[in-house]
Amino acid sequence: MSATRPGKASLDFRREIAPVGAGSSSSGAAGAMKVAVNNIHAIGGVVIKELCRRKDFYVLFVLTALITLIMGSVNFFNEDKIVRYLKEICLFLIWMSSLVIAITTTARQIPAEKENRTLFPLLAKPVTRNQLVLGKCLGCWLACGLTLLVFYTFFAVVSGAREHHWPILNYFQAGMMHWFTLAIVIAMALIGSIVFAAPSSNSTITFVVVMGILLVGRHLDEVALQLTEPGQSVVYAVYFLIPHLEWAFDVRELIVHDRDLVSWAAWIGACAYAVVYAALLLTGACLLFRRKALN
Amino acid sequence: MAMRVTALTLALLLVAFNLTTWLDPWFQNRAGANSSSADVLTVALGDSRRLFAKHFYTKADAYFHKGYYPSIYDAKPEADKLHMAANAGAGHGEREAGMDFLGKPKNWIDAFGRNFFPSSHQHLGDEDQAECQHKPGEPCTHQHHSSKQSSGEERELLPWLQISAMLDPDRVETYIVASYWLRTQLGKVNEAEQFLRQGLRANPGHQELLFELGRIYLENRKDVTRARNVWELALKKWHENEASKADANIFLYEQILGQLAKLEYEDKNYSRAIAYYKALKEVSPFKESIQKTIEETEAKLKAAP
Repeated sequence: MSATRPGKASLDFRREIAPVGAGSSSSGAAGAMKVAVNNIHAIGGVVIKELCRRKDFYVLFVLTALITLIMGSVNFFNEDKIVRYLKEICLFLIWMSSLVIAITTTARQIPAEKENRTLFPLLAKPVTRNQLVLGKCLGCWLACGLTLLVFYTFFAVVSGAREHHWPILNYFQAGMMHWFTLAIVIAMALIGSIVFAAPSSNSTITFVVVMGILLVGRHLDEVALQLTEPGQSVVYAVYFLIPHLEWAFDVRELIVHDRDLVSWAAWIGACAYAVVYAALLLTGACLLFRRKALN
Repeated sequence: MAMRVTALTLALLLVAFNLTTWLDPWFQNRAGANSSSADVLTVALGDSRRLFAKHFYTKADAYFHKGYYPSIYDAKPEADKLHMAANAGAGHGEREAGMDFLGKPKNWIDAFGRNFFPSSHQHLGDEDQAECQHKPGEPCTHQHHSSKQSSGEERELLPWLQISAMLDPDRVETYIVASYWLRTQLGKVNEAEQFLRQGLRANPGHQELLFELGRIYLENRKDVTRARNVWELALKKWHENEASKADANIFLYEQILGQLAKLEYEDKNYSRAIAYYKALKEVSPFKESIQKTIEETEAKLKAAP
């Protein structure tokens, strides 16, 4: 009995001081799960608040809006219904802005906690390392979702005002695929923030990798065919291993050229693919962070 | 001494200033002065602007195919035989060959990925959104390809063509393609003429631009006299600029002669029509049918009072 009491007391104590999830009357696995979810949610909330406080999003949104509106005001042969070039420019800017927000926001999360010396107090509370990683990831992902909502609303308003039709379902498909793809990017940046020393190097490397996938990911199999062994096998392996972020990136083309909706089965498949990849990368991030010496 | 130096310096400055005011206008107005080279784009981009211009011209062709377009990793149509340009001039069906650049999916990622980018062959203005299902090399017989009815979607090409022309004003095809779509599908004859004239300012007396301008006068403005004058000038310029070249644009020569012959025939100037037909016969692959037309025209000339 004496052996069990300290453990229970310790558990109760931890719950009492827990900043979130405290006061939970439930016990056992369900209670622990609820506490974990609350912790993750609370950490995520802090990230969202941080994004609202920082100027990154506002600057990028104003730039995107400004460039789009300036380009929209250009007169081509007195034809006021030309819209596709504008959609292309706007969607490209949205993609670039969202990548910058996702990568830079994620890359600085854990290093900033270390630098501000808030990481140890945070982990001293009943927040595990896994919960911290998952909370940061969730926060960044939700923050990106909010920014995408604003960006895509702006895009829909601009294109709708010009072409007078509102393919909302197409925009929904593109926006959701974009958001799910950003989950992979965020997970990659999170791994980078554990592996690399500085947020700047992490941001740069993640950005280069993501841009590489977006630009040549679809064509790596064709590139592999033109190589000799062992280069061919290596490139083929890379082709099958990398997350194909370009699927969501390419949906822009369907929107720009007023093509039909993506089949819902394929769309669900692509979102599930993104979720699986993000989960794999997050698991990797959790494992790495668990073994990481923090001092 | 110091006064003298100061006075001399002032005098030299005055002379230099006076010379500047005389020499600068002379330099700007001298024969062969290239005053168009001072724009910001030329200074900033140099000759690389031609590369960008080509990129935007190709982008217009990609828009014409509603995004279904080969990347740098796929087999590409030749730059001077882009589909959009082929529609503006030569036949369409033969250009369809080579547009099945995707082929069969190579693996499951390739197959699945095709759901997320334009992977079916469509054109701007295909109101029924029908896909070209014909095999490579097979002529296109879809009604939507042969008909002249348009939803005006072709306007989406124009920004890229205008940017291309801005970057490389010497690229004649850009003006011709834009003018073709403006006057035929969008009903913007004034804008088409203005754009061609912009091209002529950058490329004075260019035979292809003159030929296209003549088509505007005849087909849209119904001004036979001006069309004839412009085409005669185009023919003269062709002889001056193209005839001596090894790879002379014979197709353009045939078109000019054919249009002039037809115009003279309809205007009952049979002797001039015969002269044009005879010149056309020398370069055309359809010598027999032209000979037949010549004989018919000669008969009409004899029958004429």
